[in-house]
Amino acid sequence: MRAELFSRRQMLRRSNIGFGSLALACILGDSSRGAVAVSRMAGDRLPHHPPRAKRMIFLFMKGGPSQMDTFDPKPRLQKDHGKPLPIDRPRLLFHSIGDSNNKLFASPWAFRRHGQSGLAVSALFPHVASCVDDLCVIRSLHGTNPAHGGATLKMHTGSDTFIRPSLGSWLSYGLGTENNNLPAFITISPTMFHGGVNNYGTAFLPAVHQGTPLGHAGSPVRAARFQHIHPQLTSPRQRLQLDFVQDLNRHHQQSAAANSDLEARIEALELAYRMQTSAPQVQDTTDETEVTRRLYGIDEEPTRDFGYQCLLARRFIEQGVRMVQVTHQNGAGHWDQHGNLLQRHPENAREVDRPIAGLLKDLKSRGLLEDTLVLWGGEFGRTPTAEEKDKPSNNGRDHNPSGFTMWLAGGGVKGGISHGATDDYGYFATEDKVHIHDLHATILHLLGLDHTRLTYPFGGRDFRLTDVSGEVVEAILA
Amino acid sequence: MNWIAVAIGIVVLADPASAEETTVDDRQRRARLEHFERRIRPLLLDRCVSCHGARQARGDLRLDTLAGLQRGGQSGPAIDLRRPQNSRLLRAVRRTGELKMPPEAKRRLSASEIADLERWIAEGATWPVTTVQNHSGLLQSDHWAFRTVQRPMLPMVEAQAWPRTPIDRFLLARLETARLPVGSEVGRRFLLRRVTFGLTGIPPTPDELRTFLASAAPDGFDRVVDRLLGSPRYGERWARHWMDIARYADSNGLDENRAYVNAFHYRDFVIDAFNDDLPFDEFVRSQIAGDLLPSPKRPEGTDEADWQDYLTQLSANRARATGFLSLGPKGLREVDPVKMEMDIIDDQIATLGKSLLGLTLECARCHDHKFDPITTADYYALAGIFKSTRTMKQIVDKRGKGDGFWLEREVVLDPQGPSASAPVSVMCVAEGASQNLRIHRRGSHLDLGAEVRRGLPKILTRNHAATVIGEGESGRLQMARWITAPGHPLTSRVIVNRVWQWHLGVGLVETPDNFGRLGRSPVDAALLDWLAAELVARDWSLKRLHRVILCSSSYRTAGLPVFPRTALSGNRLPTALAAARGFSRRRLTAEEIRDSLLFVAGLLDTTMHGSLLTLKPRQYVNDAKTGRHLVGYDNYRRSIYQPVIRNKVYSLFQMFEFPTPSLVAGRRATTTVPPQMLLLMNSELVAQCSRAMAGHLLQRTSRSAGDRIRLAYETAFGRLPEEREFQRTRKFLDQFGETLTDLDPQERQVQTWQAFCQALMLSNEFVYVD
Repeated sequence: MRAELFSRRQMLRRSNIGFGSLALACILGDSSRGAVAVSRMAGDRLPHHPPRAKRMIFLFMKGGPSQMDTFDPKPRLQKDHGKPLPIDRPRLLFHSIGDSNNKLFASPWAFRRHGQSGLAVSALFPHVASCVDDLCVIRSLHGTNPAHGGATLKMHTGSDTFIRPSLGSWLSYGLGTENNNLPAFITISPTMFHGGVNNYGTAFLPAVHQGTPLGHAGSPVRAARFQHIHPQLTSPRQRLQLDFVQDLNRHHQQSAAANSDLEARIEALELAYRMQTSAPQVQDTTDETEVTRRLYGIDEEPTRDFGYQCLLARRFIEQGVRMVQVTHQNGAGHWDQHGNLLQRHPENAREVDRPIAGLLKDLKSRGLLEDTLVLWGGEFGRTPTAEEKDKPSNNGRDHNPSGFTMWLAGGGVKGGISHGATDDYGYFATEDKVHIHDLHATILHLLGLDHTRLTYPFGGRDFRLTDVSGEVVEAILA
Repeated sequence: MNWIAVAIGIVVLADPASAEETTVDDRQRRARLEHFERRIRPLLLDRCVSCHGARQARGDLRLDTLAGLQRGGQSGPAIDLRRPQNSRLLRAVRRTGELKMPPEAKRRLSASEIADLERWIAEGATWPVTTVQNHSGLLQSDHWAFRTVQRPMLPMVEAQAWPRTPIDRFLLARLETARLPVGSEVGRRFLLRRVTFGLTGIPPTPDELRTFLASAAPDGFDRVVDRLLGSPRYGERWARHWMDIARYADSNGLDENRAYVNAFHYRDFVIDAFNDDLPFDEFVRSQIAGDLLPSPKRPEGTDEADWQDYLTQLSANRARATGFLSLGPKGLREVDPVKMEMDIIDDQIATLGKSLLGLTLECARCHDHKFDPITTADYYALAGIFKSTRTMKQIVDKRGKGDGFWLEREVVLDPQGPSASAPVSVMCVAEGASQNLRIHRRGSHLDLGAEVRRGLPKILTRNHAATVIGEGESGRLQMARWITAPGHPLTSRVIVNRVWQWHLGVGLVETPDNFGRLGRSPVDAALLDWLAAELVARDWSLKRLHRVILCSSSYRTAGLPVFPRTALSGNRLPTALAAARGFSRRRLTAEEIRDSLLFVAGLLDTTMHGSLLTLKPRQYVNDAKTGRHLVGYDNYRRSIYQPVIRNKVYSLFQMFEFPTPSLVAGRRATTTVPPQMLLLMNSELVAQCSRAMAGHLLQRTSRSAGDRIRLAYETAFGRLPEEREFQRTRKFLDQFGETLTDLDPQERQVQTWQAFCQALMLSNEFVYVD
């Protein structure tokens, strides 16, 4: 038994993609009941091609930030303010049904060109603007679902109709983790609303690929801990107890037939014991310098909480975590400004602007940006028309999945460019349209995975993140 | 929380690819056919056949038959098997020459798709006997699962003394043919633990153990089986199995999570159905069309008032049973009301297909099923039945915005009980306006094709017809009767296979939710059919089925690992059958682990039925402002009563592979990861349980330390400690006590014994059944 274990470890060490879970499944593929999908993947080496990014951070702006107020300037919209929208609206509208909701609403914020690239960013994001030469701004994103729940699920899992594995779970399944003391996929302060756990769930993928939540939206992340990480016993007492447990286990194994499941559980106990110290260490940021803390805006409001989330994201990926999601959801309203855009969008932006810029700069100065892919955006964008509700003074915008902006930075994408375009008003994606499936295909591609080949058999057929669609957006690859 | 600690993470799932022992040539052909089915057929259909197929053949080229490819078009054969790289088809899709295909650059083939084509041609362009689109060619009624069940003769065996029940003869015959010995019989204490967990989901008590070990009666074990089948705990354990495939949950959980506050009535129905041994056909009929089933006639001599009460209760039961169709995930804020309705129908069809028929009918929502003879016409015929059924009370709000709310109905569950005057609301379905649907091309309700009469899949009704659906009827009643008719080829096979798997770990068909062509074939078709025929012949009684399996000699054999695998493969005995011939060690499920912790601690609250949800109808499961979860899981009731919130499954469940409650889960995975250990080491639940168990051990002051240790082992493991364990335990208690000298003696004693009890709960033996 010891010899068998040793050889398994050796094989893992030899595996050149780290402790890939799929790789493990192959190694254990002779298990009597068969391991996961090994036969299907056997012909495919993972990653499928050399990756441009080894890990990913998704900065998720819950609620849907407005593209024409942030990264997609629309001069024509500014000019035609107050006029009726001259083009047909989509078949499905979320809120703003009726003619009174059809008037163009100019952006209240000025755009200015920044950096060497001269990309335009609105006054809402002065700090992110200083990183503009690293951004690859996609202005032609589009999806279909105009409701938060469906759109959020679509963004995270590729489906707004069925429960499907989330992007992070697919990455974990395909690439595993590089640190077996930490989860491969961590989601910091995830939203409990609008799909909730399904946004980081595994659906039919093995449960090990589930995102591990740290806290949840609406409570400060500083106080959040991974579940059950605090020992109930002092360390020496717990060690005494575990030594006793392991003696029981070894005794049990002698009477029972040898079995890799039992052996695995003996090892899991030891790993769990070590995790109790390793995971909190990553969360303990006292070793960060004053400069770093300022960079993320951790020591002041209103950037404290989101800054801390971004800093944690960097600390986790440094430790080999494959995907970290950071969610910005300040209370129930988040970025969902059906009204009061003038006050709430700047509030939201102020909370995230400095931390995001801090993260990008920090990653860059540590040499991590070149192989870390950063994604920013919400589940959809907003309409260029005003949502008047009961009174014209209501300054708000409705949900808009037909055209919106997200940006990428780092690992394998061109910096300082914009890709695609919406119409003159910013309502519909028109040029070089990028569907959410295309975005997913591109992300997988950058991480070394072919979205058509990263599959898992369930209910009679192979499933993939991009269903039957998705094209890699070649134009943005560096 | 699931960390990946890959060095030790083990995932055990059904391997769906067929790997039965066959010749090399066979295997190669299968691999090639699979490559064709998975990569090439979809590719040709998607990119080529619309212009080069039966409807039009541009350039005289057809790419929907092998002959078409070989004959080629105006410019010559499309494939060249002698020089594969030279094939015209490849040159066209590589777009290097004049001919660039498909013509639209956007639809060009990716490098990997081209590689797939290259491989396919290089390997001889293997093609199944049918054409690509001709579905009638796929209508293979000779697929084993579509054939009528034939009750086989019991096989002849040499070792006449070994079989206890008929299933033993099937397994023994296979072993004798392969010249393999039967497994040895497992020790009685193991057997008691095995069957007690298997039927009730909790361990045997020390008293039950002593009684069983002391009994010398030859039918002692059979009596144990009867006792357990009569225990209310049986229904709670087996209802949970059914809820796995009924994708049970207490919330809608697709977009925004609302409470299904009355879903629990369905759960109570299932628990009662198992405890009362409701015949399986009636169980299924009630769930599909309980509201439409005719009332039975009053038997002579029954009191009229009693009979009316009985009918009231029957009708209430049948109403709550139809919750089965309504419990699925729903996107209640879907802005497109037509899509919302079609998605709900899709969940109903998918659940019905996988859970009862073992077919993935939902594949045909967008296109003809690629592997099974199910067409889009079949799908929309079924969808018409559900479209004519009301599941939702409301789909949109007054303004026309998506705001769904499901249908409920008031019923009187217990006409003679104290709450007789208080009707309760249950989730249910009802007949709606009957209508046929048009085929939704590519699944889109914006692109409609021909209308199809509502009805049942053609392939399955050729040998097993259903009664005609009349005007004004949804067809649910006909469907329910058709599915549960004794001659239905799938229903009985699918359920006996599930029961077999839930007892023995692996089904005779290893893909319990898929009996289609991509599923596995049965490892012993005769045994499967015998079980199916027996179930029907014995009035669909599941308790009788349990007895046939549990009272067998096969069930008593020691675990599989002692059986040399090499001997198996050398003698060509499929691994599944090997597993079937004896119980293999299994880890407890999430619910069993939690229930056992509470049970050995003496904390388990065995109150039955009801709901632990404290929410109101229409209330969100998450607080609208903070998103904080509003459902508490802190209680000592059996795990089956824990609320199942689709967006926030109880963490202990999640950690121990509770299935995603939106999907039919015929099989659960078993993983081993450190967070499970962290939970057992540090959670409040385990602290409470270990302290309570210590309290019990210490209760009687007259008990010696030795007695306490022995009682603890009996409680946790169903056995006494061996001498070495006993000594090691004493040593641990001494050592641990010494670290607590700062406490008063009584608290020191409690904490020391608590640490010992927790150690037992952490050990492998606690969570594994041999």
